[in-house]
Formats: sequence, C-alpha cells, structure tokens
Amino acid sequence: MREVFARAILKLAGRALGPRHQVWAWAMEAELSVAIFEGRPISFAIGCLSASWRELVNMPEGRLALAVHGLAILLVVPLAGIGLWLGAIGFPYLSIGDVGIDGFLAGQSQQLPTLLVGERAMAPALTLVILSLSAGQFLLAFALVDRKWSRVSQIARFNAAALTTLLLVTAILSVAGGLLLVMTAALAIETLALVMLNWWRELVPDDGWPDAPSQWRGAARLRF
Amino acid sequence: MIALIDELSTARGQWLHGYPLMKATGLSSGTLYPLLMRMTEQGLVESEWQAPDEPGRPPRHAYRLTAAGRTLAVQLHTTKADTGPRGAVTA
Repeated sequence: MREVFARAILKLAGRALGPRHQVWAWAMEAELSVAIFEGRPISFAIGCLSASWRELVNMPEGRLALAVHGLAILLVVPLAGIGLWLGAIGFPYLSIGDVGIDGFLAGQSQQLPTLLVGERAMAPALTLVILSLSAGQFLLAFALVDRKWSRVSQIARFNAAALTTLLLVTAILSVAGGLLLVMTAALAIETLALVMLNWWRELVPDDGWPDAPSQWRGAARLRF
Repeated sequence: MIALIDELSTARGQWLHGYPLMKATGLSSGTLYPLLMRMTEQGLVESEWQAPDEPGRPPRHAYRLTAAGRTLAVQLHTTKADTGPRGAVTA
C-alpha cells in the first residue's frame, strides 16, 4: 500500500517537472525501489514532490501552468457555478423581490415574475442560454487545463455569443440587467486574462524536450 | 551544497547514485534533487544512466563532479582551511 502511494506521489512529481526535466523524474523513480527496500518510500516520494513543485515555479512553462490553473480554478469555474445557480433560481425572469440577499439565502425569495404575461414563453429560452453559458465556462476550464488553445478560443467565442444574446434579449424585454452587467464585466476580465495568457505562452519555450539524448530515453525505459 | 560537493569529491571520480548520496549527505530528496539539477545546469556535476544491480530493475542515474566541480571543491576546501574553526582566520 505504501509502495502504491509512493509511486502515485512520484507520478505527480514527474508531471510537475514537465517534459524538459523528465530525466530527473525517471531518476527519482529509479531510486524509489531503493527507498522501498530501505523502508522509507513515502518520505522519499514526498521530498521528490516538493522538489518538483519548487522547480515548477523556477521554470517558465511551470509558471505558465500555474497561471493557467489559477485562472481556471479561481475565475472560470466560479463563473460557471454562478451561471448554474442563476439558471436554477430562474434568473432573469424571476426576481427575489424586496427580501434582499439575506432573505433570499434564507429561502424567502418572492419569485416575482419580471416578464409580462405575453413574454413568459421566453423564460425557458432564457434559462437555456444561461445554462449554456455555464456549461461553456466548465468546458473552457477543461480546455484551459488541457492547454487546447484552439478549443479555448472556440469556447470563449461561444460564451461571448451567449452572453451577447442574453444582454440583447433582456434589454428588449426590459428585464433588470444589473447582475448581467456584473457578469459581462467578469467575462470581459476573463477574456482579457485569456488574451494575456495566449501572449505569455508564445514567449515560453516549447514544452517539448529537444535536448535529451535519445539514448537516455531508451535507457530509462529498458529493463535489464 | 557544500555537503554534496564534499561527498562527491570524496568519491574521487566514482559515480554515485541518488539514494546513497542522500544517506551520505543527510539531505532529503526534496533538497538533493534540486541541488543536483542546479549543479548539472551549471556544469559542476555530470550524470549518466547505469545498468541496475538486479535484473528487472530500471537503470539508475549516477552522478560525479566535472572538472569545474572538482576545481570548486578544491577552492572550498582551501577556503575552509584558511578560515579555520569557528571562522577564525589562520595565519
């Protein structure tokens, strides 16, 4: 069990080192068997993991990876969650009324319809757009973390289109748009962050590992 | 780093593996490997893959000082000898 856990930790360490320092990941893996024999696999593996995380900050591609993950976890996913929540509470066609945020959180939402009778047929479509925006944000987070940049661009354009549709329709229906303006601002910040990340990644050395002699790669995978 | 250089210079050109280096220097893996990476990048240490002692095991990475590393080791020893115990400068 300890051996399995130690190997899992070393795999994580290897991933953090990236392709450019992969030889060090293999070096650590090779020493793990000695650490297991000595009865100290976990402490050895945890030390290797801390070493790899420190190297992550020292490498340009490591800092980019941290920024990408930070954007995905701290901005994109929360926006997706907020979109999901808004869709669930019937935004923008149901208003919480005068109860305020405290009252809403206490389950006292007045659920006042904001659409006129003849416009209520729009409600499902509005929910669909909100939920599509939320789903788009989740997909954006995955594409970011996977570094599929063309997909990030496609999804970001879809999200922008969904938000634009929402803004136009709510403006035409004269539905309160304060929260939508906040969402628009958040998405604008997100788009700016994506553009900056794209510029940054063009400055970072290629994630490939061109300087490793091929004999090393072969040697590290041989079993004698 | 000094402990690592001392241990590698004591080996007099022999290749040393990672785990024995850890035990000999008292450094943890979290300290040893970043040092080895830095020293390799700076040309103080060289490394090679070696066949394992037992069949079925992966090859092991081994390390030794380069000429630049040996020069640095000599300089450090000289500085330590000149400084003496507790930082006192000897005549």
